[in-house]
Amino acid sequence: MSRKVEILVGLFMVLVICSVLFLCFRVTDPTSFSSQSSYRVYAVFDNIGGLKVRSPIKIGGVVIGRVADISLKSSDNDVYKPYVTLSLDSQYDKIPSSSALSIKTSGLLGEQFIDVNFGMDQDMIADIDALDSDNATNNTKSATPAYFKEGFVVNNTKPAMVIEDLIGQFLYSSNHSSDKNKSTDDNQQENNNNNQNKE
Amino acid sequence: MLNLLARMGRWGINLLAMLGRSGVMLFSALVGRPQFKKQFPLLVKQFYFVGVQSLTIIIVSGLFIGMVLALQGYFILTTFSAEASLGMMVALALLRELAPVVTGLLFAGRAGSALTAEIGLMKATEQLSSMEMMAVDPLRRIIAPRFWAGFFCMPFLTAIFVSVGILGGALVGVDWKGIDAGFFWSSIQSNVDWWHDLGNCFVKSFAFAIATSWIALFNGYDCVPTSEGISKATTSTVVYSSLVILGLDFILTALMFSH
Repeated sequence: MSRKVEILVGLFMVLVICSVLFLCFRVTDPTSFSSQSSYRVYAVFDNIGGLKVRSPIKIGGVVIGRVADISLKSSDNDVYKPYVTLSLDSQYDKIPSSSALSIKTSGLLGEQFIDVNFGMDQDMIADIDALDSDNATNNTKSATPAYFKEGFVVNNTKPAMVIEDLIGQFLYSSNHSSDKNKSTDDNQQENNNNNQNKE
Repeated sequence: MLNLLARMGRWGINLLAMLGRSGVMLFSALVGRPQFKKQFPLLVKQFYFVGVQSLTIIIVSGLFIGMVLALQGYFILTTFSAEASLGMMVALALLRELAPVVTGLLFAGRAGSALTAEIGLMKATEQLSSMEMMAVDPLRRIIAPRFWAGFFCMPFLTAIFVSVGILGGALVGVDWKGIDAGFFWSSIQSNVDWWHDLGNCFVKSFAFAIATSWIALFNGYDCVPTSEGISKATTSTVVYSSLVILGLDFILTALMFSH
């Protein structure tokens, strides 16, 4: 009896360990809890729409990091603006500092993410500057680093497209034009009717 | 009028006395010098009764709940042509709510009632008092191993329940309804959070395990030692455990997922 009980309890424990391993490695993403080294970049947006903490940051559809924190900060002349902390994977450390960030939606109703539009490399800018050497832009260039790095603040951002605003604008503009068309159409129809009556 | 007041007072005093007795019982059963050599075989035996013998009902109900969840989810999600996220729906529903709660209810019905009946019969046949006569503490020898077995077995059974449920969901979604296996598993992996979903699942099931085993053991230990008293105690174990599990579940969910 006792031996059989011990064997069965052993089998039970093996089953439990199997299912915990299954939960850890098949159900959750095993790479998510091996914390990879990352660096933080900050970005100021006008409107973040439905962006959330842990939303992905993508370059060409490939996830390179996640949003770490969202807060409101008065950046310049006391205007509160959404201040987003991005945590980027440190293996992607060659993102030109002139890159633009824009908030996009995956699909029509999908989640929102930050898309990084590659900017020009600093070397290319230097080449262009060398071509027209009259420009005095060299002074500003030295102040900004060549690539995104820890603590860099991105100001080159595009706000999220809010669908309600877009629909509102569309309706507003289409109402104006269609009203005019309608009134002219009505006039023409009345004219036609009058003419037909006369005939 | 005064009679009514007195009855209410008596009820309140009884309730408080019962809570106190149950606390004292659990405290004196669990707190003490550990004697691993003596207690480990008892624990293994209780693991067999509480854990291994509940395995069939847990696996079968986990499989069917996962399958039915996948089937219902498939019918709803196809109307939005979003069946690729079926895996996520099944996994999150199981992890966050169904697995801890259903395992708790089944555990209360299968193991909790058995524990109550066993201890109640021990009390009715005066095995507990004869143990005291032999200078063996019945709380340490009878109650403690059963409590620890319940405390550890229920989260273990919950893990098995979730795994079997997700596999059942995959069986219906992937093999029967023809959702792409890659979509199914990747939607699970990208949406199940390591701590927020999996961790909270186990926090819940540990809480339910404490509540269920405590209620079951106390009802057995405190029952009126007659055959009628044992049947009453068994019934109230199942009823109170279920109510406490559902109430605790709401509170824990509100604490965990409200932000």
